[in-house]
Amino acid sequence: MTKIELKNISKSFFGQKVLDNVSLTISSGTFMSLLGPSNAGKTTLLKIIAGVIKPDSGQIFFDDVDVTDWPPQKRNVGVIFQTFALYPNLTVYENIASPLRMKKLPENEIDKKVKDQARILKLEQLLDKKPNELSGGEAQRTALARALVKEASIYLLDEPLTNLDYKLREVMSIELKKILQSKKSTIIYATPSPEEARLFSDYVAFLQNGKILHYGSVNESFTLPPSVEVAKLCSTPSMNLIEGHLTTKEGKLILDIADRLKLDVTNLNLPTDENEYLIGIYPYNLYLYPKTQDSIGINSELILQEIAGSDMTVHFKWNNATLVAYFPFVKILDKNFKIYIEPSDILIYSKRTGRLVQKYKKVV
Amino acid sequence: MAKIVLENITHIYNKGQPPAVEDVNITFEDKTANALLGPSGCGKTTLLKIICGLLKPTKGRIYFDDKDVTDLPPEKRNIAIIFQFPVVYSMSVYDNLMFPLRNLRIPAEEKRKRVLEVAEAVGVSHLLNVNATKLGPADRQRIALGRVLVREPNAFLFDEPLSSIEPEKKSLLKSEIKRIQEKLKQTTIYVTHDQTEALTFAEKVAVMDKGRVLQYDTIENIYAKPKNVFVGFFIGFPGMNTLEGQIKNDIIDFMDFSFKLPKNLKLPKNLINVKLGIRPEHIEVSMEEKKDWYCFKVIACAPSGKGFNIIHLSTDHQVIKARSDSFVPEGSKVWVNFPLDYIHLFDENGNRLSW
Repeated sequence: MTKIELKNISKSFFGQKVLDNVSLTISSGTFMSLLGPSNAGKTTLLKIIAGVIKPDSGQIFFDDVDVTDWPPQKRNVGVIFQTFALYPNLTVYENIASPLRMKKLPENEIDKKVKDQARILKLEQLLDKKPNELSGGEAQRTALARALVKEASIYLLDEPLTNLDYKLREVMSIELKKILQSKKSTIIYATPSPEEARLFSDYVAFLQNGKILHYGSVNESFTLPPSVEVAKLCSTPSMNLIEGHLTTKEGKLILDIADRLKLDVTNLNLPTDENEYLIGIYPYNLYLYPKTQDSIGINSELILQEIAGSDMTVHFKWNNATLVAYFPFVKILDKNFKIYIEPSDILIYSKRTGRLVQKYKKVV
Repeated sequence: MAKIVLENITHIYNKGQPPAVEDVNITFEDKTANALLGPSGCGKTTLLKIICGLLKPTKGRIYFDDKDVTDLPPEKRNIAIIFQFPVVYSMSVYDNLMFPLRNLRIPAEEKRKRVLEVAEAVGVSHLLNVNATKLGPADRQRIALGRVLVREPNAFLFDEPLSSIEPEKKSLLKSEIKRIQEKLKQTTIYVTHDQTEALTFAEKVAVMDKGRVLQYDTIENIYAKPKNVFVGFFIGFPGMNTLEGQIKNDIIDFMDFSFKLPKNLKLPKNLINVKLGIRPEHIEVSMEEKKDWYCFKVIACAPSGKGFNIIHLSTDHQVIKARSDSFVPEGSKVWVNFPLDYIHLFDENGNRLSW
């Protein structure tokens, strides 16, 4: 276990800024996700922590020791990259053993470690096979075993599941989580998938355009995304954000959304100097039936219904806004249908600053 | 426009190796939207190449309507293919769309009209003077689609057309492809490993694994009546659970618990080993003990990120997944019920039993 501290890390490639003043302190033993879209700078940041590339400026500390100038082999970091390369002429056994051979461990110790690791990752039957005889998932497990076999105090994983078929991801994800948890190391798991971040980690750093937008616990970050930028990264499909403005009516403060949806916000202490807001609703917080007596129905027009066997994602129009809803069941919808919003699911963001103002609460 | 018939298609790339496609028989009816769905290596791309004529099958015949086209080269089949990585030429979008028409003997004004119509249909009207190579993947894919539309082909084949598209532009392109497809009403075959794309675009889906078509059926039946264990698992999130057990009189014995079979079942005689299928979303879960429900231990409770949790449950011999709206602590006990309406039965080889 190692505490990792990044101080003002910047990196450019060919004049293009990839990481922009990244500072982050990851306490020892934390399982953290680095969540961001492609080209956010995730891989570059992992490579800098691993020591494969050097930052243009900034420092890296492991347990308060400056390791910025340390070569990779001195850092004792286990790395699994998205495009994993196995040695094609070596068997699964020899691939897994390769990092131990580099350390020149005694043969009987290597044998024990390789076999232990193979057992955990269910590769025992495949040890004599060559990489070209393996399926995608088996090759991925071999790469994992090779990274995990050398005991490291830090593991960096770069989208280890992205290149797998979705069914294989479904099967492997919880297994991988348990294996990583049992390591009791500091883990950074880079992923473009908010679902994976939620599943795997306790903490999450949101990275976009080379900048850290937010770092916090998974629970708090996804329940109350602190800004619109973060909120957009919190689910697939992305959170719906609808414009609304403040008006007064009969002494009440009303958040008026497209003249259709009116929320009483008198008791919410919204800042008095701002009138324009964005209301955020997760796609899975939209319903096809009223859930409570507070539910608000909105008339919707179907654009596209994406069916996934047991689930569906529905793109629809409401006034001028294009919104997305996710349902954990399948029902063929008509051109026009009603969607229900639960006021208590609504997040209110300032349009000017993009910051979370607060979660909507029912007026008593 | 054509009906596409595949008859006993088998393809072996190298002698001595297992076939990439084995004994495929499918009729894609005229003007229907179809999908070939399966994991990587299942043979779907091989089958696509055989349909468009890029590959001659080792065995079997292909018919368009009732005409045998097995020996026709691709250019004589007049089939449009939209590939994963869209190809555009370094010229204006207008010229890209005009390209397939250049050598056709139709009036220039007619050609121009057709190009403009297609540009409108695929949503690139505002880009006609832009050099196509300057555009991103989503717009390039629109142009590639437009270029085949102007030709008025017999059928459309889509080969993973969305996998190289920017994620934020995918859903718009999906709805456009869907709209174009519904408007054209042409025979379409959509090849993908993604169940969502298959079930969204197609009326009927052929699920493939290891070179074989396991089920070619409507999207409703693919989900509600999987022909075998593989299809049951491949469709749905998470996939269908299967539990292996043995029939003993009127129960299925699962070692740790038993499932009571309804009376008057018409199961094959001498049936002993069976697999019971139940989808995670159909399992009822209770935190409190319930009579006749089965007790499972919670191994993991994993958020799906979509408003519900996936709980991993086990007894000594069985492991299942279920959905749960609430959080269930690891190590705790839950009681589950498999409602009869949602039970699927398979024989020991994983083939569906009617009952």
